[in-house]
Amino acid sequence: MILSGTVQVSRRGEAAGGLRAARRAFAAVPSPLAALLGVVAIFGVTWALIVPPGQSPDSTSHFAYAQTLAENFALPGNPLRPGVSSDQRQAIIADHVNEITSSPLTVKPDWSAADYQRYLNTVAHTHLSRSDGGGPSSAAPNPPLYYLFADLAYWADSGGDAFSRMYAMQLWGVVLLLLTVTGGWLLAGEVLGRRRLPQLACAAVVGFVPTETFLATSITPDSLLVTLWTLGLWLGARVISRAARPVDAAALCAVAAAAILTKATSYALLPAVAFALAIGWWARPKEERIKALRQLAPALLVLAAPVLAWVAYSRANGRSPVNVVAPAVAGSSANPRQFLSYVWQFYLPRLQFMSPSIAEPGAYFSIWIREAWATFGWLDVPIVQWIYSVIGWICGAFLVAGAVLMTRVRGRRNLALLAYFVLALVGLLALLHVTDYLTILSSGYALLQGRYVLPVIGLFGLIVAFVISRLPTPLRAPVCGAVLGALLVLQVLSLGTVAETYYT
Amino acid sequence: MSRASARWGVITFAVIAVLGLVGLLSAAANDKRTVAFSLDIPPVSEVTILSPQESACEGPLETQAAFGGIQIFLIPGAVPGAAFELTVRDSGSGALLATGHLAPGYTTRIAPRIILDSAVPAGRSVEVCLHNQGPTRAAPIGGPGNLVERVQGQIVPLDVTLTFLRRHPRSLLSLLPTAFDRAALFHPRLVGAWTFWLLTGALLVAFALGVVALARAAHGDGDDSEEANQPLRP
Repeated sequence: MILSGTVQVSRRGEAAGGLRAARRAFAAVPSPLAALLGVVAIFGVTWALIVPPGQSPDSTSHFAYAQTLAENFALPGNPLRPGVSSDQRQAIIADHVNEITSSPLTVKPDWSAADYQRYLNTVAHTHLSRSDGGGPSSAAPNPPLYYLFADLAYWADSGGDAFSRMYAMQLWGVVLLLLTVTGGWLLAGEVLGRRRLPQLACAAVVGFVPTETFLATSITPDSLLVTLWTLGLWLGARVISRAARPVDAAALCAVAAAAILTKATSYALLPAVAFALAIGWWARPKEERIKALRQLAPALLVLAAPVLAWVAYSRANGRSPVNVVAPAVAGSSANPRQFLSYVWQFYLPRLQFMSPSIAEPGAYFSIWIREAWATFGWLDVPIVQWIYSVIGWICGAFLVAGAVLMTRVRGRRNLALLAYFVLALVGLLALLHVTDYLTILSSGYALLQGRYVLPVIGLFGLIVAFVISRLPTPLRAPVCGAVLGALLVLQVLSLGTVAETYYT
Repeated sequence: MSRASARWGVITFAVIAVLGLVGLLSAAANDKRTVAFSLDIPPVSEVTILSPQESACEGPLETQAAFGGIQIFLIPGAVPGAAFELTVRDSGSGALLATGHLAPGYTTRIAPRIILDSAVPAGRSVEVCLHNQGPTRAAPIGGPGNLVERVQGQIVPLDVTLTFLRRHPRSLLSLLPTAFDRAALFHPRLVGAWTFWLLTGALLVAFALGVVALARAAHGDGDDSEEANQPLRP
């Protein structure tokens, strides 16, 4: 009895201690960030619930992957199995939305309450296998990390029907959105100092670009990818600024490894990570560098071990560890001159000596502005067209102002930070353009989509923050207020567009 | 950061937010919508070719909302394009509920909106028939669907695309309850239209929280001025 009382008291004491620790942790969150996270959570939950099932790019395949992993503890891609399970197939048949073959702008979904009731009756009275999927799909070549993350929500709602599990996974994505916003806040804080207005602006841009909010709360590895890249940008800045402290280096390497295990695109982050580690190491006093090398070895192991394990596992199981582009069709072999011309014409008008591009010329606007900012569904739900022009002009103004201010940046640390960010940006763009170019040669179709550039959204947020930090003091709060206000209005417009497109 | 600057930050935020939200509400109030509901059948291919006096019927289908017109998609087999009679019948009793007509003479693919002579209420089980009144052949357009499509009594694999239109257009704003009712379908059972009303209210709270974030950031922006001298600066 006495012992039992002691245990109870002890448990109460532990609970109270835990509560105190949680309170302390919460109190440590700066109040502007806490308020912003509240805003992000509200918009995130709204996005997670308002988008109809299956109406984000490849989400049907991504759900199938997560389900195969959750139910069979196996990766999909088995050619002898169907792509989706009976459980998922029944949901697809029931709501029609997944199967619609034309844009919702042409024909709206029918939203039949009777169809939904029939689905609920079928689910209640029929055993629908959740484990008979696992066949080939567009998502099957992806690494498994995101799907493991999404499966936490899948398992948490394992008693629910397929729609319930889909939405549980989408709601779980709000956590990623909150982490991404926190990453944006920390990134600006690390680079510009603890200056709340620039930090708020950076975090707001990262969280409220509508396509990012939409994707973060969809079933797609891109959601985790953006979070990891944003955290990676922050940690890389820490490694450079703080002379590669072992804990920072290990965290950066862990995030880079996680990003690679989320999507192969993240190999593009490796040059920047290597650069940050090298600069951070070099910043140590000469006599400490040998010791520092020994300290950094575990960090490198944190990066290399999981990535090499994934590569080895993939090879052993006949999978490709990276997404493979099919060879070019006969008569259209790749050459550097044509590639450079393609990249030039992607962004700039064709020069006289250039041949016409193999891709749509000047596509940067439709992809990096229109799609990356606010295009939803399967890239078939745009917002009002003139708003894209406004967004383009505002982005251009911040980029030009940021570029001008950057020319005045001095000091080894600052230049190293700049080089780190440029490496991350150029690494991603180079990988995307090379892949796009090779895909056009092999299939005739362009691959690039706006969402592919979102991993570096933290850099755009940082530029906005940098410009605000350099404004005269009386202008900082009004400009930051304008940025935040405009982003929230854009969010409401985007949510309204999605709702009216599918539901009216 | 001075209080005045922080105040101007909040004022700028509030002005943009209020102007933006009022603008969106105004646009939604003036955006008139005619579509009552659709059958989720994409207009991707010819369902059949109807010769003069032949018919294609689709149903039974439930009417999700009242309607007074139907949009179809047609390709003329020859010029001039055929006239069509469109009928809506109760699928149980066969009683004629409404009729509409398409005039002949079109020359290319069209998507006419055929006005019916009377409105059909919501919640009915109906069958919609297209009757070619000549003088030429024409092909209704449709795609894969879950309905039963009969051409001259024979079942065909594709369904005709039909979009049901309201007799009187409604503003987008007035359709908000309908949108939320529809959004609640195919969701977790806990989610209902109430969830979306609640979230709409929460979005307004989010704007208020945005003010808090901005005001706190503006007040705290000068707190770490020494540290702010360290990082990236020209």
